[in-house]
Amino acid sequence: MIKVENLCKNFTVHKKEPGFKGSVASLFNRKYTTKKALIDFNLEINEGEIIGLIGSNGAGKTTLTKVLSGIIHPTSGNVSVLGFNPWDKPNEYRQKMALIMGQKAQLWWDLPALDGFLLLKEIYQIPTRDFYDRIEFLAEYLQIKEQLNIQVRRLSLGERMKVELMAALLHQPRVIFLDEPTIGLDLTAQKAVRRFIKEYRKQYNPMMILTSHYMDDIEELCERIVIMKEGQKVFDGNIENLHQKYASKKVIKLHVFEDHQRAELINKFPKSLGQIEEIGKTVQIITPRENVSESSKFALNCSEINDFSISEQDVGNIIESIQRSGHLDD
Amino acid sequence: MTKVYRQVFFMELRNLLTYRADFWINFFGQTFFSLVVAYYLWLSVFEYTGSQSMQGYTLQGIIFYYLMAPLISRIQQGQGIGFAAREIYDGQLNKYLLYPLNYFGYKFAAYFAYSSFYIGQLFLILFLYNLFFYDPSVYQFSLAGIFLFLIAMTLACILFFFLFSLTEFLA
Repeated sequence: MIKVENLCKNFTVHKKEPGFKGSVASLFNRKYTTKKALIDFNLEINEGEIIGLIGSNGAGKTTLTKVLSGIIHPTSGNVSVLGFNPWDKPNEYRQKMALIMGQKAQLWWDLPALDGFLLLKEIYQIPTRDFYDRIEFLAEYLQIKEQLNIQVRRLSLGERMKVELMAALLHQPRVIFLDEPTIGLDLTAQKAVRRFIKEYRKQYNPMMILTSHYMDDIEELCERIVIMKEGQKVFDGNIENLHQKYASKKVIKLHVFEDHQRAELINKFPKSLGQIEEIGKTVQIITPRENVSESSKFALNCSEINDFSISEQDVGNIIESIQRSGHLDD
Repeated sequence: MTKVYRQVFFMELRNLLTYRADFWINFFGQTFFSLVVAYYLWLSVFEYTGSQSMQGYTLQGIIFYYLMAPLISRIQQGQGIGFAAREIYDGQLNKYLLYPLNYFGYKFAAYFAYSSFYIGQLFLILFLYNLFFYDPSVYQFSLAGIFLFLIAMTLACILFFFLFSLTEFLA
């Protein structure tokens, strides 16, 4: 279990006036500013749970991940992960935890992945038989067997991410921090990584904290999402809660083949029911939940419809609005 | 736990063997070129002055000094100055903080791997030197001398490792 209470983390960064004069001046008199990366942050995660950590750049996601994994000390607050204080860095905790950073390679760049795995085998004291069984399972599942003997730096970004995942999971950690694991990957590689994470979770049920800017990662993998803004938590719940709390509107899409019928529908649609707009051959109505039935009836009676759908607002848009203003824009 | 550091040691050796051209240039090239320059420089100095020795060094003695000094300096410097500072700057230090092992133990094993490699290089070059140019007046070859040299080099490695680490972390 992960328990975070009133966590604060401040960074002190120095400011420099532009130009050479500023550089020389900063040698003698340096001005500092304090950046609050986490402010009174609280969080609880249960065994086997997977949460998605969402926030714009600088929201504090990576700082939180680094505090939880024990890389950095917080300024104040309490953290307990699997009963350990992460920044005490007890080896017992480090044996049970893994951090995968999509933007930073952890394997040894100039050597094949297998050479790195051999070192990890000793670091985590994995019995030889288990080690080879796990390599077999992970390589098979990630379809990366052929690339294990190739220098890491020669692998494609997708292949590199796969071997990074293998390296992080060889010791079967109970808590896994995934910091943007699909960043920069093409769609096929993103899907493969997501499929693998899903399958791995099904088999081993570790606690996972996933940070990503890709909504597909979050929607497909996470049961619960935590939205962060400027170091604070602004939402904690599942996607349905998010819709109920923030998305007071629904989206009706109507495929109307005839141009004049689309124009007629747009002209006649009462503004009091919601917003209407034309997107290609489709007419989109964004309407409050309580007006969905009335809006649909109006649209269906008004024109000849080829296709029709009612959906929730796009999660990405909801989150973007929350991040922009702290609540959903109307 | 010693198995971990043994694995680190051999992994760093594998790292050194990764690039063929770099390996051979590093192994023989640098020594050869600096030796050629030193030889012609000192040959002209000796010829110009007409003396047989300078401050107790004959021409062969000076060349031998030029051969040994950089090789021994490399042994002492191991992985090179700046390894920790570079890792802190690049954010690579994080990965070592995540592993259940001692950072300095890891770094010393890596440092010692480089030093061992350079010791191997020194002995091979010394062997080739002895084959063609051995002169007992320049130095006396003995097993006891080699044994003492290895002890001295090991202690020097430990000392330099701590000095480098201290200066890097203070900086």
